[in-house]
Amino acid sequence: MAESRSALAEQFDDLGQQYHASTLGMWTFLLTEIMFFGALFTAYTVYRSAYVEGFIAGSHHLDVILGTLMTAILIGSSLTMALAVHAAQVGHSKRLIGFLLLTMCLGLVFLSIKGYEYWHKYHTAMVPGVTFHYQGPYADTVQLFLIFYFVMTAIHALHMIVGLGLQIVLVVLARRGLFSSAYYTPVEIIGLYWHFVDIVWIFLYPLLYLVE
Amino acid sequence: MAEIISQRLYYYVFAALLALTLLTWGASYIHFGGHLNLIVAVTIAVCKAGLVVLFFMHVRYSSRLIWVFIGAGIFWLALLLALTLGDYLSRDWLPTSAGWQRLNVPGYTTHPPESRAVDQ
Repeated sequence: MAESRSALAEQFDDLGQQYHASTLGMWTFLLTEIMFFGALFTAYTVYRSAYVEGFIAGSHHLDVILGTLMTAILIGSSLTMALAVHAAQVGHSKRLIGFLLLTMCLGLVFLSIKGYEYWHKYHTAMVPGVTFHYQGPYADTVQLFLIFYFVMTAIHALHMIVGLGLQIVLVVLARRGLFSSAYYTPVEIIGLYWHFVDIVWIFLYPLLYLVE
Repeated sequence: MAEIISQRLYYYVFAALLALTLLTWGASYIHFGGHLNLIVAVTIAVCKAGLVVLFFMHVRYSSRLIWVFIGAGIFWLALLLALTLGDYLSRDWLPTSAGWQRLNVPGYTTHPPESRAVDQ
């Protein structure tokens, strides 16, 4: 009970009210993120509709198998995050830490594959603005497609790195025994953030890797 | 506090998400023609996002206020897309003056796109 009292900020009547205010606040933040990524997706749609051939040619230079693998890994990390929240809800602190660490491992595998992709693009001279020597047809719009690829995936990866940092904080707090079945709000709202980043990738995957 | 969802449901949702991922991958090898490939891919992505939002993010069990907030987010995103694309995609419905065509703004498809890119 003492733990629960320290977890309650003074402006709230009880933990339930604090939980509802926090999740609504997190959703409000995620709405601003929808508009942020929405602008990128809108720009992508405008240019894709104008330069279809170049976007198809550019997409064929991405590895579909790697993209599908990354999608599966990120969906898996969303599952382990959901299970981590479940463990927190039932007050099982060891399983909470285990699932958080598993989620972080899957996130790191995702970022490693992303890093390999970037490295590969660098070595084949297909990084616009850094090294770009592409001789095939539609060179200009292939470059435009790759600019979208790099900007969108880099911002997505940045969000994942933030998510990994937040999960380190959660693991530290969980080890200190801060969370219980009565108070797990931080686990829930960081879970919401992680799932949102997963959703962004769910849209990036067909738009970047599967252009036909 | 939030309702506790059974773990088995999370595994079912995970399996459905993996199945939809394979479906969208397979569909990309079929040539539907026109914009149909894009429409199929985005529809599957919307279904996957819906599963994540409803179950992993617990929205199915959340208060109506959360539903209203998410509805507002989808509404504003739809406005952003509809108004922007309504402009760009309708530009060559009317003839434009030669001066405007030289600006190389996407949406003016009077020239084939690639010849415009080379013109620069």
